[in-house]
Amino acid sequence: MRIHLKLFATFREVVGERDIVMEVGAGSTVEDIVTELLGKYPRLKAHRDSMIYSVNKEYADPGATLSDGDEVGILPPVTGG
Amino acid sequence: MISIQNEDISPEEIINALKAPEAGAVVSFLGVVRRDPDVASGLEVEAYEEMALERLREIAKAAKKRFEILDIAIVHRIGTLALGDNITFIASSAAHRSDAFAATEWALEEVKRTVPLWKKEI
Repeated sequence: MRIHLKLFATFREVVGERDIVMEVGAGSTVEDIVTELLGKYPRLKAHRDSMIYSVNKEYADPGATLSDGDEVGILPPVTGG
Repeated sequence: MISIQNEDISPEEIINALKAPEAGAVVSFLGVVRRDPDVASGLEVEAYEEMALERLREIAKAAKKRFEILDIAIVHRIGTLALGDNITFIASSAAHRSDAFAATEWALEEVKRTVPLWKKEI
C-alpha cells in the first residue's frame, strides 16, 4: 500500500525532503514506516526517541495500523506559541 | 478568529471584534520575537498547517467549554520573523476578568504543548 510521509523542521532538514511516498506491505504500522525511514536515513536515528507521530493529521501511537493512502507525519517536539 | 498566517497580526482589530455588550473583560497575550543569545536575526516558524489549524480550533472549542468566556481568538504566524515581530496572539472575552485571564493563559499553554508548530532561531 502507498503511504505519504510528511517531515518537518529538524527531520525535514536531516532528510532533505518534506514529502516522501513509501510503498509498504498491508498491515504496516507507523513503527514499521519509521524503521524503514531510519534504514534509508540513518542520521535520523539519533532523533528517534523525540519523534511524535500523526496519521491523517491526528496524533497517533507508533503501533497504529495504517491504510492505503494514509498521511503519516513525523514530527519533532513542537515549539510554537 | 482562528488563523495561521504569514501576515502580521493586528491586535486591536481582533480585540475590537471580541468586544461585546456582555463582555466586561478582554484579556490578550502577544508573543514577540525577542533578543536571545541564540537569536541572531529572528525566527523561522514552520507549521504542519492543516493539522495545526485543526488543533487551534479544538483548543478554542475546549476553552469555551472549560471557562466562562464569550469568545476566543488564536492567531499564530509562520514564515521568517525578525526581532520584535509579532508571533502569537491569543485573546479571550468574558463577563468577568478572571475567566478571560484563565482562558487566555490556558489556551497559550495548550498551543505551546500540542500544536504542530516549530520555531527555529536564525
